[in-house]
Amino acid sequence: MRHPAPRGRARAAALLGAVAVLAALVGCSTTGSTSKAGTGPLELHLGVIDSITGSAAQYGQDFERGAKMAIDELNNAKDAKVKIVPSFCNSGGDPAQAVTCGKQLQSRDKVTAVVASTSMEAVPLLTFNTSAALGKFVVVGISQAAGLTSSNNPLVVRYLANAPSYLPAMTKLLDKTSKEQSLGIRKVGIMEWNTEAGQALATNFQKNWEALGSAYTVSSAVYQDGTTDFSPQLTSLLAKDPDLIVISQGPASAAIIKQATDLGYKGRYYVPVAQSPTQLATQIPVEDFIGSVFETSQASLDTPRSTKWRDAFKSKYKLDANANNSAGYGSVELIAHAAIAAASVDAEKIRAEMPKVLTIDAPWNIGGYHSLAPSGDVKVEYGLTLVKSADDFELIQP
Amino acid sequence: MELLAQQMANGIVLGSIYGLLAICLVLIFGVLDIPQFALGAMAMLGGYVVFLLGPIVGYWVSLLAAMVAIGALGAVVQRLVFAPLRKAADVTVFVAAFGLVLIFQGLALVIFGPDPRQVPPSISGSLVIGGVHIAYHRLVIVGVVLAVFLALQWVLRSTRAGRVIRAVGQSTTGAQVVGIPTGRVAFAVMILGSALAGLAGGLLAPISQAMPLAGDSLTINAFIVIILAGMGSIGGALVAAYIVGLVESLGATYLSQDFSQLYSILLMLIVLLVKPSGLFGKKVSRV
Amino acid sequence: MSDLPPARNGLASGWGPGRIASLAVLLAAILAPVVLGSGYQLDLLSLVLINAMFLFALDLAYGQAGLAAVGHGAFLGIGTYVVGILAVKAGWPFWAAMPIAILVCAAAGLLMGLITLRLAGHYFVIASLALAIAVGLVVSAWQDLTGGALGLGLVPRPAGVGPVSFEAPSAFYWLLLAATLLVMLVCWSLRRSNVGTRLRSIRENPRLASALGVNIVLTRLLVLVISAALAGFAGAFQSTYLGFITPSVLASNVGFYALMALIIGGQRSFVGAVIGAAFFVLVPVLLQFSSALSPVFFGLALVVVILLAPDGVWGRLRALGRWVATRTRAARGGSSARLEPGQERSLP
Repeated sequence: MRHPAPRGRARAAALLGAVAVLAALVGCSTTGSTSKAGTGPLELHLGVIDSITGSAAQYGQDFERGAKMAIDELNNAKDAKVKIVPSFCNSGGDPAQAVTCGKQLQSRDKVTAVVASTSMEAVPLLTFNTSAALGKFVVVGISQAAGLTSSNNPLVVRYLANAPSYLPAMTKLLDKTSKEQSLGIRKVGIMEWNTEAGQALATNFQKNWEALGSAYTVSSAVYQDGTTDFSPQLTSLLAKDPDLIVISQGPASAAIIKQATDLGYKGRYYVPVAQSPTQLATQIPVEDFIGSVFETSQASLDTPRSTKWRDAFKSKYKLDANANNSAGYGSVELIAHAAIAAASVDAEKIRAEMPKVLTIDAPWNIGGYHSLAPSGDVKVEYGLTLVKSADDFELIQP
Repeated sequence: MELLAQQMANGIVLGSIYGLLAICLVLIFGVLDIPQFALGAMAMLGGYVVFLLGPIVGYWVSLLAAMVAIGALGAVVQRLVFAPLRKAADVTVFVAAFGLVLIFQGLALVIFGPDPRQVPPSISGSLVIGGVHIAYHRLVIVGVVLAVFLALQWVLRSTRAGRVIRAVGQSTTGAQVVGIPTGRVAFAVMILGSALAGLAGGLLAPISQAMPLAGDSLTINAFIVIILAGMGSIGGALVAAYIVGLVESLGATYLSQDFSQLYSILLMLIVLLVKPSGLFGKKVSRV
Repeated sequence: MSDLPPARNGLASGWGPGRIASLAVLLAAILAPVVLGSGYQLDLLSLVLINAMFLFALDLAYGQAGLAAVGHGAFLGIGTYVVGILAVKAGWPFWAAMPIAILVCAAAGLLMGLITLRLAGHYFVIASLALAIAVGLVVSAWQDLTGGALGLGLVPRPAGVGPVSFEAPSAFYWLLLAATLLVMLVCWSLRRSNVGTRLRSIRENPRLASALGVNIVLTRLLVLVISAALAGFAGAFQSTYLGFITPSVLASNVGFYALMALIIGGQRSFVGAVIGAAFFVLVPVLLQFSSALSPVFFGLALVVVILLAPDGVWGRLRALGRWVATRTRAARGGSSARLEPGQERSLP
């Protein structure tokens, strides 16, 4: 620097530097891509938005494993009819970040379909997934709450979960089982996780359980996301002497069961689909939850189809598959098979084919979700697994 | 009556954990003036140390290991982050500490995954008195926290090291003037406070399980506790922690559960409105 | 940097290089949709603008009034929710809901000020944080009104004004840009007004200011209310940008991240706030490739930037500029060209 640089000029230079950095930052993330199908397999640009960090990380990571498994299988199949070009985006469980993810996938990656691991990712996409100018895409999401499909969005599918859909039948099945096996379940206490998934399960369970008769009572205790000591909530529930404690947050099952046991509770638990009994048995002794009932999706049944899939999953990841794995897998497969049936990667055509390809017998439909309604709701039916003893898990199907 | 007794017991246990972390904060925030927002995340890492080593060396040895490991981490953090920032504004240090939270939680997530990891308690089973159930491990927590408090109280009151720490807490400049090597004292206090955070995490792990976000609610509550108490003394912090624990568990029972976290916040605000220096605070900071 | 006269802050007076640079940035910002099209980059810039608006507001409280308002995110969140609730539950148009958001936030700011302004230092920081957490708890518990954890949606884009529609991303971006400039103008005039002068004297020497008859608490309260109102204004835009609102907009992290962005960018300067907003929005996007490790890298980036530039990137750049200037002057045999000790790190 030979010349005198007055303050102002240095500032201007710095300012321009800052702008250049900004421009470079934005420019860096630019990659063009086109999605025209050639003569070979259909090239399907698929977005995966999941929360692999943050408080819903367990859901997102499980979902992503299933989705990746489906993508690998589809792309490596002999004479594959579809080639999936995936783009992943981590929402961190934050809907605002999910919006950024969605717009990135829409305009940068030109996706025609997006799968999302929770409603925190799926619902925010509905503000722009039908825009012809920006690019239409189908949203296949997991959501316990009704909001995903109640907004008349023509390009949405609600896949797993769906508390309003399965809990009416589920509470009846639970009551029937309770009567047949004399479990004596009437008074229920719900540990309500104060999130979308927890609230949806709690309110729908309560509504349907109380509808069974006046002897069927529900009390609930709310706790904030991130709670580690559930004793205050459990103590209030136990004061009402419940026959069954409903857990609404699968990953917290072990901690809740341990702390309830410490407080002298010896009754049953109801555990949501995200936590299977075999998975839980790796965390706490089975003795702590004998007599408990677990929501069970078809993916956990011992049918040849499910067993084969679970074995494949285990050999790929060295982990036991759970319902969220199967949801990630199934939602990607649903999109791919709809695209194959439509012979197109057009979002509207894919969505139009979905009700036809989502049959209960489709070999890839390991979750057994079927009957896709025009609103986008998939019919979800769960069975129950009753833990009778350490080595006797009885499956009760609807 | 049974319900009340049970919730009182729950509240005292909850308060003990908050109290231990609040004592760490009295040392680090009160004496060193470092708003160490990452203490909860460090406690969480302590829980993972117990999870890893507990099955091999037993609970108590692994608890000691957690103290050593997290104390060492505190030394690293002090050397690399807080010492270079000792002249920066408070909020800048706050932000740096928040960066540490992201790093620690992110690393725990990547290394151990999001699933909660089970940590067996020091003693399993529960004590039952008149229908009130208290897990033995919770009694252990209450006892250990009280022991730590008494030991620290003795160190601060009756030893030379304690007098030096108190001098630094009252005035860094004053301490420098009389020839106290404040940098080295800060280093030692940070190690001590961090080791206690590791202890808190190791004690809590059998209850909360080891998981990446385990420390989040602890941090906020510990800050609320020391503001409620008024920064100055570890005794005040412990008493305020019991109050917060009791308010939280009793509020969840007799008021609405939707707001169980809110009660301690409201209590803190009311106290601050009436007495801006906190329950036990005096104008001059005092250890 | 606290000693710079107002004319040197942000918008420089006169046609110096500073003003030319500012105009160049403004021109680039106006032309961005033409250059970038309506794609994802424009969307990120829109997000930068919303955050910049909020940071301008926060800078009034923190940079100007010296209030380390860790809980300021609550005002952004309240503004977001007010517009969301009015739009979704009552079908109000954006233009009617937005002024309500501003009023509600101003009232909330007043309340918060009355509660916290008597507190000093650390006590203020934690009380502000605690209030923000309390707001979040109330919003997620008040399910009938806010939808609780299930969220609230969908919030439409602002209705068009006359022939102008804001549906297209570029039009919405220009609307945001205009709003950002408006916030900037408000902050700038406030800084130039006698309130700004009082704030400066409080920052420099509170006791002297008090002795000279400046009512410290009242001045700060006024600034806090204005700052909260502006945050509510930014929140209104965030509401329509997101379209779907959950209690995560009121998470205690929001205030942290914002303060962080401001400190990283550089306080008491519009450019610093914009740099901070860009850091805050773009760095996580750039870190997407690292998937689960991205929070670790973000945390590292944060700590490293803080260590290298405790007074912000913009503060560091300005210091660098001054250093270059003094060095060249010294090389030419200039006289008193050395930096005063401590000048580089002058923070309140």
